[in-house]
Amino acid sequence: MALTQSAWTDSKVGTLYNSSCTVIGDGSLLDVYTLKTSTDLDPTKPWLLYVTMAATADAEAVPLEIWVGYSSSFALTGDDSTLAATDGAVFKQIYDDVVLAVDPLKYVFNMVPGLKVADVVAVANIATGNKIGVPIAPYYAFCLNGGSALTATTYTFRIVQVQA
Amino acid sequence: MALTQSAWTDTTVDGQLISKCTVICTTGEHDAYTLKTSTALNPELPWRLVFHSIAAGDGEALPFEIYVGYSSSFALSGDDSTLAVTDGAYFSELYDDVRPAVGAAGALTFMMSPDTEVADVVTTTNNPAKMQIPVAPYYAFNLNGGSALVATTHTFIIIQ
Repeated sequence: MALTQSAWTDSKVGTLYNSSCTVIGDGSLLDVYTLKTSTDLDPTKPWLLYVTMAATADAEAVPLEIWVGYSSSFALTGDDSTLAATDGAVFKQIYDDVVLAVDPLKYVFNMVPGLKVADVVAVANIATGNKIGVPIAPYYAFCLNGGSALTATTYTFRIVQVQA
Repeated sequence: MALTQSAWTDTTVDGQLISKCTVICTTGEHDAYTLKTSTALNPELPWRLVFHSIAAGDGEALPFEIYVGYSSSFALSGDDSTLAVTDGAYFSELYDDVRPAVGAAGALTFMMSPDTEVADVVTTTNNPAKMQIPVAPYYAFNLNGGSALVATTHTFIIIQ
């Protein structure tokens, strides 16, 4: 039993950088996580993260976490109590519950290095705009941290950045 | 019954981008939304949004929302419970009630900045309105009525 993680697929049209990946859970795992992000993402500039899933992930809240890595070996492995990072660490929970983000509904997060206002990380405050002060790091990964086994479905993560 | 949405029309006045569109709604809609903004807008710089209607849009509070998109196919569609987004997502409520924005004299101005150091101001009891917004290639705006909207014309103007 394992995750099926696609690599991040990058495209750039004009100044618009677009990177997406999917993770397919198998129904037995409590954690669903991506591979490390592409080096084409400029971590010194703001970017947007879109998250959606093909079916409801869980019968309870599903928190979303961001992890940061410091080498090209950065990767998450394991599950639940054995979840671990190689050459990186969890940075923070960026949302308390993404369970309602079922396609076509997407949740979007404004990821801003040096954000000067408070983070917005709770679905109860979604009307105030989800935003997170993110560290400038060479690599990121995202993890859905289920309280119970997550549904066997496809989870999609998309990064969008306006680049000069 | 359907919305009549004009495309954003760009002009330059004294070196500033003026991008304008209108949305005409009927009494058949709960939501009145724009098409995606013009690529002439530089999302990395602050801009102002001016909004007004010919008549008050609703008999109850009328929240004003911003959506963000990531492709040229970005668009809102549907209405009320069927409101949906192609290649984008809802980002935030910009203001809790825009009904006072009647006529040019009542126009509301929103300061939109990708890099603000102060908290958002998004309610009618606190002015001027300002918001920390994401740097995104496209935006769209929606009047999210709690009941059927008044048949009138809503005008949106971006200044940068």
